Amino acid sequence: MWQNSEEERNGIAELTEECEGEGGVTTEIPGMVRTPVAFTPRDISTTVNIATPFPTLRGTKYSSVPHDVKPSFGAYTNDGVAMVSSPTLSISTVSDLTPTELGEIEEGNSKRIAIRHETFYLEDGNVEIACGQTIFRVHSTVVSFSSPNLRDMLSPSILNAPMPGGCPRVGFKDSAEDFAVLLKMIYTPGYVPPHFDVSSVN
Amino acid sequence: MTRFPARNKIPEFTVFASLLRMTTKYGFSDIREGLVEDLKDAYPAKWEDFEAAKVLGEEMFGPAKPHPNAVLKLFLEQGIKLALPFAAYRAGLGGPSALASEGPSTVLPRLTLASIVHGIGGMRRAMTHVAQNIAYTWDLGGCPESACVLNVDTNLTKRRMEALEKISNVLVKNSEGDILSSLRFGNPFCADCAKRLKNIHRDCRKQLVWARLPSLLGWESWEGAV
Repeated sequence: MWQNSEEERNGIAELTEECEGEGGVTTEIPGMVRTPVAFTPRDISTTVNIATPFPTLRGTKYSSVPHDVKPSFGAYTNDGVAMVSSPTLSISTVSDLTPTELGEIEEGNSKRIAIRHETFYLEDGNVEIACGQTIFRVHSTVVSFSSPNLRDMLSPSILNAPMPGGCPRVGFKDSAEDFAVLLKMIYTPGYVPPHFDVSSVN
Repeated sequence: MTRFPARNKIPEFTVFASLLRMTTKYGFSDIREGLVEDLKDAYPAKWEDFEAAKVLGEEMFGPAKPHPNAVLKLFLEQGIKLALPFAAYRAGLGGPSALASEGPSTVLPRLTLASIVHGIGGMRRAMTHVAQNIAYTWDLGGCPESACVLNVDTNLTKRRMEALEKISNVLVKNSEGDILSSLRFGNPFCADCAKRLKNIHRDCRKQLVWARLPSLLGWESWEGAV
């Protein structure tokens, strides 16, 4: 069992006396032994070096699953009924698939900056997939159900995967851009039509 | 009228490429087949399809056209065999500097690059030969019309040299459009010569350009490529 040295115990005792002597309120709980912790001004003003089981995230935002449905509303008609135009689906740009840096995650010894994917870091997901520095958080059942290949890749990996974000994290070799498109295809029915209308380009 | 008009719009190339890569890798075979099918119109493998095509090559991806090398590289990586000859041809049309582009998504394998350079060079030589034949052996005596650039008495002026160069370039480009309208200085030919030139253009497109496309990537014929 770890014990403070005599010199440290003396130091802690002096510090405790100082704190209590300056109006500090202490509450004795029967059966509990107080363990004083020594803090110095230097400790507080500099980096707090406490090992945490989960990564520290700054400025984290959670976004819901995007569906790209942007309903627009037309003018009212004479009989007062609003004409609501059909929602449109568009996948002609990648701007909504661009990952945005939302926080920093220490990844083991490598200490790389990890980036949560802006769209596909789903807070109720149960598996994280790392593509390069971008982290996706998705539902393993949904992803596995969509493709036997994905299921075969995920199933054995999850068992022994580290859980830096609170759920298993597995690494894929795909680029983040490619994987975001794949997830959009999986999570958005009809995202890829049976055929594109190529002749309408001009 | 489709309910979701934007839904069937072809996505930009980067998204299309991601879809192709991911559906191939993760076994979405039905979606992949649909994507490959969509390429057939713009990257034809049959002469009839080529003649009927409204949009060709990288133009199918809309105003933000990708580099032809990027398209060819994707097709090579993903094994889209039927679209390879035409994609190689489109890349070759860009000329040596575009072909040798060293961008991360546009750099081609050295062997592919060498084949295309060799193939396009062969096409240009064949077309120059055709253009020279038009100029020098037109009915073994040239055109009798004095206003025609192919008149037997016309000297090899700059105007005539430019016409020859343009003719060979237009022939290599294998474009659907009117060969004469592409000449920047107007039509220098008489009516008979223009008509015959159009017929030559059509024959050359099929026999000297289309038939040679597979050779750009080392195949002897379309049967071997497709």
